[in-house]
Amino acid sequence: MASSSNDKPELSRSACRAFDLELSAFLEGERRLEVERHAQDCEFCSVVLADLEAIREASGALPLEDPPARMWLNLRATLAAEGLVKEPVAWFERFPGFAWFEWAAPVGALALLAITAGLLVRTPGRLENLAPADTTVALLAPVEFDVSPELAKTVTGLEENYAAREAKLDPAIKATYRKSLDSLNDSIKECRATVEAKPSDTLAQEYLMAAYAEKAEVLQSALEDVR
Amino acid sequence: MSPPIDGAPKAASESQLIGQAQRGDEAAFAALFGAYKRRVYSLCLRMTGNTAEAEDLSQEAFLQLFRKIATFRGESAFSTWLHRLVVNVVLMHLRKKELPQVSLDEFDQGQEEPVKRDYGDDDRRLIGSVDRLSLLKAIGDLPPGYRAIFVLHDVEGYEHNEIAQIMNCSVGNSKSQLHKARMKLREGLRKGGKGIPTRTPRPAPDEDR
Repeated sequence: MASSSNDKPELSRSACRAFDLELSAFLEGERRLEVERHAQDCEFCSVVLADLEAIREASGALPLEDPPARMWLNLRATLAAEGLVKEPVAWFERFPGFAWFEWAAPVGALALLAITAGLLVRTPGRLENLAPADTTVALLAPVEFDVSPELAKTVTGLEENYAAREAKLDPAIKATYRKSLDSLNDSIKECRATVEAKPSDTLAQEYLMAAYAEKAEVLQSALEDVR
Repeated sequence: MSPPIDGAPKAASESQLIGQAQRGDEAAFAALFGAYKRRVYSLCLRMTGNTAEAEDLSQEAFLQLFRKIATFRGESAFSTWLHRLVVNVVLMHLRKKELPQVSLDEFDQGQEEPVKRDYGDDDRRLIGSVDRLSLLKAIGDLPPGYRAIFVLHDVEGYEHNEIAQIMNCSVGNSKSQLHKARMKLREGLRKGGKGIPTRTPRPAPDEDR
């Protein structure tokens, strides 16, 4: 047990000074037997050593602090003002293999309309069997558009997977992903409503596809973070 | 080596995010900000000891990051690159504000005298686990030069050779400043009333003391 220097007259102030001189190196992990020995014999110096070790330990374990929420808004505004962020691009522009989609989508929509009209005209009895009022409804009925079943299925699968594992994420990261997903869900809802109200709106269709594709990317990224 | 950054995305997704951010993708900027904001803000806060300055400096650091991200080639880890950038932003600010444009070796000449121990005084032991808030306050109260080295070494985990390079001083100076900083911090914590007496006041030390 450590005793005070007063109890041990042979331990002089010079021994404490020598301890002080070597203490820094000892705390850096260098071998200093005299420091260990002196700390055992001198209560004052053992207290100093214990305190410094406690401070070092506590300092290395300080938790991270959250910045104010406004920081991103300020930063985003500056980035936009400096032209560092670009407008969101359509999902197919991110994948060179899908570049044809830009012109193919409207052409495809027109082709679909033509085929539907052709079938209605050429199928024997199809038009005749319809009452006049029904014919009007059939011709004016929206051409149903939706995202590809594969993409919808992928997003649903990722969403279920993420919902089951979301709790494992760091709360701050989880909140960031939740915010992104909420924003994308809002976009999907808005685009879907526009497409339903105006099925010929190819821009809305395009945005709907882009929102789904982006949601898939965000979910994929979130799942990678969970792992 | 600098410590890894908590909350950082996994390497694959991080490189994707960086690539997207280099193309100006706002979502990628937001994701990188979300992943690193706490680490960056905490470093700024500890090095300045002031929340308003920490907010401004964090924002400045992220702005510099996004302005320079196109030049990031992946030669070092992104977290290391960002960490160094943040430290430079803070040190630049401290030099403008409190330190003259000199190296730490020169700066050390003007620092306060090393903390001296009064051998045999009414020494008080700090509570075994140091109170976090008191510790943060005591770190904030350190003179800027001491605080920077203490935070970089004991909080952020930098090695002395890295600190010497960052702060333009010698390794020996970094070690010496760190020790003085720790002693000063201990003194601050004791004065702050966060110590507990280990014994009753002692009689005057013997004549050799």
